Amino acid sequence: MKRHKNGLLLLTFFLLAVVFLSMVFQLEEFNQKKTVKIVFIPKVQDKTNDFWMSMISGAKSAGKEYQANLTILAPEEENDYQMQKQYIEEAVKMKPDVIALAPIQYSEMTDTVRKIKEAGIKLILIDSKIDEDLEETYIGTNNRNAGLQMGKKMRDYVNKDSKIAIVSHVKGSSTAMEREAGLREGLGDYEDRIEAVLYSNSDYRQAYDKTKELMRDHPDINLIAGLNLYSTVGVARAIKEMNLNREVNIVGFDNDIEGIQYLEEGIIDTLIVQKPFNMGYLGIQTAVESVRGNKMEKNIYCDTEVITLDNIYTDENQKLLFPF
Amino acid sequence: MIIYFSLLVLLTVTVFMFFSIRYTKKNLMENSEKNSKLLIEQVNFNIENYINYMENISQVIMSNRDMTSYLFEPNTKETGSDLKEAFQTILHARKDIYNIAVLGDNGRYFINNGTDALNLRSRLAKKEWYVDAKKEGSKILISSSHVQNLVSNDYKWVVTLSRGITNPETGKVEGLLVIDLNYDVINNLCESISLGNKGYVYIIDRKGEIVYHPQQQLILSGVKKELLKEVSNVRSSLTYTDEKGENKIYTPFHSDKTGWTIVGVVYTSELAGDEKAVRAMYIGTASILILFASILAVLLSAKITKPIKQLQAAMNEVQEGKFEQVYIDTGGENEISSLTRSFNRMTKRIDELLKNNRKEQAEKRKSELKALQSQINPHFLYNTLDSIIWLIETEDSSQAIKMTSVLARFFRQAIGNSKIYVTIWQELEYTRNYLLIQQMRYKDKVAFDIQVDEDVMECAIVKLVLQPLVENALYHGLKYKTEQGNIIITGCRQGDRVILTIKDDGIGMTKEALSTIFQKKTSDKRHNGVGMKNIEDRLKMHYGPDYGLIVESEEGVGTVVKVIIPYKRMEDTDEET
Repeated sequence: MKRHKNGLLLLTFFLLAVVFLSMVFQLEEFNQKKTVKIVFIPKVQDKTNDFWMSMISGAKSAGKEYQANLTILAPEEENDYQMQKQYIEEAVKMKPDVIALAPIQYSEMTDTVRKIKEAGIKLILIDSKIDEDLEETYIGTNNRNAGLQMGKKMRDYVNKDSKIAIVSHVKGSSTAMEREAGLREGLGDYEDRIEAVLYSNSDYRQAYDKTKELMRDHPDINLIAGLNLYSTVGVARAIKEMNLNREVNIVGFDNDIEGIQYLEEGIIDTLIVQKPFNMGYLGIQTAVESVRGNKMEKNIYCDTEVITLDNIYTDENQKLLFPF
Repeated sequence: MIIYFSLLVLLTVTVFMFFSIRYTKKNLMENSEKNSKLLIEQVNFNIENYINYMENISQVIMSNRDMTSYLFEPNTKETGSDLKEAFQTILHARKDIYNIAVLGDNGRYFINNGTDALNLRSRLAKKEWYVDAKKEGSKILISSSHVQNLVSNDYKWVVTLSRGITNPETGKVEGLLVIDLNYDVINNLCESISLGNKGYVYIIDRKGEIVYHPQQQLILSGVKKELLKEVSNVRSSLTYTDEKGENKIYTPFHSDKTGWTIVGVVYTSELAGDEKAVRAMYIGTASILILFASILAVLLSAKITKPIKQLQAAMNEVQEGKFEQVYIDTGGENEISSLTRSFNRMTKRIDELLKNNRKEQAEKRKSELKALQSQINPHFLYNTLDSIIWLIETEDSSQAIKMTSVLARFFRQAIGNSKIYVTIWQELEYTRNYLLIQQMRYKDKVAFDIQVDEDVMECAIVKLVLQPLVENALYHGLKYKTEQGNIIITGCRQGDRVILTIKDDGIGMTKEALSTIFQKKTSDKRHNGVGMKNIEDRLKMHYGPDYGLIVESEEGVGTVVKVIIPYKRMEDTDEET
């Protein structure tokens, strides 16, 4: 009995001692932040695609800063939404805390995306949205604002008998719809000058061909807006080839070296440039924060820059236009 | 005891740990700063190496006669093979040199192997690096990192070394030598530096503009903040808390050659990671120490407290008078054990003294008893002798003979037996002789009957118990009765005890008399007889507290005295004199 009592006393004391020590030295081990497991599924991972490479490096940068366990699953081609659906299912099997997704399709992959939610995994959408509200947070360009910015800039090039064409990218995709809507709003009174809306389906070739066709059918068009990189570059190629660069102003979206060259050459007049590095960074940052239980805003927008010949090589813009 | 001891240990360990951890933390910080500094110096060393190399190249090119003649002599259409060869050799040897170009203000230029064309849309006059280079005259200038669009169709991140070329004819600076270092060199150099998992290196130029930063885009677009100009004048490490509340240690290093400041950034939380490991180790050690200390405390207290408690228990026993079982042995050779030894000696001594004392007392009582036993009521003798004389005078010689012989037997029994114990039979005989004498004296005044079971006859009884009781019955009970009195002595065994009953039908006793019967030391002085108290005491002394006398009496009816003794055969009795 006595011995037993002593033992009990000793145990109590020992526990007390541990608690006391923990308190004195604030053992952070107990509430150490756990590593967040993230799967990031961009639209494409292609060394020649600066936009997505830049976004991936932004994501990696945040991954390093937040010490997250970051896996990247990306299709090799930007339109391959079947592949992306497969990657989503694969990602769900990996049981991460959160999936950051840049969906290729607005409505065709909603069923697959829903599985993320059903598996109890948080969803962060980057760059594009889907037709159902499944995400914790959307991080991307405020496409409407970007369109607005574009439309307002386009007014600089409008004269009294201007005719405008829009070369959009994928019909039904959220970015295409929002950019076009913003553009129309930005144009204001000049909205009725829009003669045609074409879709390049994110393909240089289609953009090029359709532009040529457009110029044959509507030779009076003198202002073309490309709503993404493929459209913009395709349009510029066609216009350059048709030697119409003096007659036609091109306002484009996104950039690559070719686009910059056209800008330097004066074929393209203005580029609306997104900030994919920031998007990737904020996407992963938000993913980490949401897993850690911080309430995030529903939409986090990255602004866009208006690039003209005069500001290509400013400190900020050259990093944006030539990320590597 | 354990608690105090353990608290002491805990306090010691805590204080020790507190200072240890503080010291370790300080050490960790200092080490990390040293480490950062070392790594950054290494980065700087490498960068300066590149710059030195570029300077050497520039030196080689500046001393190339072909170059100036090509740039400034209007007659020269083609470059000499010298310049071309020099450029090609350099570009071939060093993949990290992207471009080498000489640009004349007159529009002449030679780039790389001579086939690369100047980008006509490069708008050099608007480029910061070009403007700065032009301002410097013939001096060497290292630009910040920028995208070089000098060569058509080529947009590469570079760091440019520029140097004005003087026209030997005019003596004025009329051209520019451009050497572009692949920015990847610096990028890789900085990325390869490991400052913990999260730490990083960045470089700013003398204007405070970013040459390299892993998150340059975030900073330039205002998403994140970074110390730029703030560190360019700082010589030592500084601690900075960013907008997310993370503590970082900035260690800057200034290069005079490039004018750049290379900054190493370490997250204190990661140091704390190390610190945590150290802390965990310390706490683990402390826990084990405390565990051991606690065990030691228990053992020690067992060694100290246990004997004290034993001693305390023994003291209590002693207080209650139990000396025999108090011997304690605590073992060991310390203060406590010497104390217990003293205690043992003391109790033993006390015990001895007490025993002696008790023995002496007992002896005294025994001798008193002996004296008492040998006392025969002298009146009884006188009276008996008187009666014998009277019988002889009345010539009733047979009665006289009988009485004398009974008296003789009585005295033989009274005096001749020196033993303490006798058999009940012997005691009864003695009593019978006494009663016979009294009967002869008082004729028919007394009648008696002895009915004792054969079973108990051979039992031992302390001598002189029954006779005094009978004497008491005669003198206090029957004597005051006018008619004949009866005394009945019975005896039987009840279990392991023997009960002898002396019953008389005398006047009995009042309740008050009965209640004080054992208080009188001796009975009536006149009879010089033996008091109840004396008999009771003797019985208790010999047989223990469970035995003795029970007296019942009713006034006018009589008295019953029961003698209760253990059933013990005479042979089994230890005779002690």
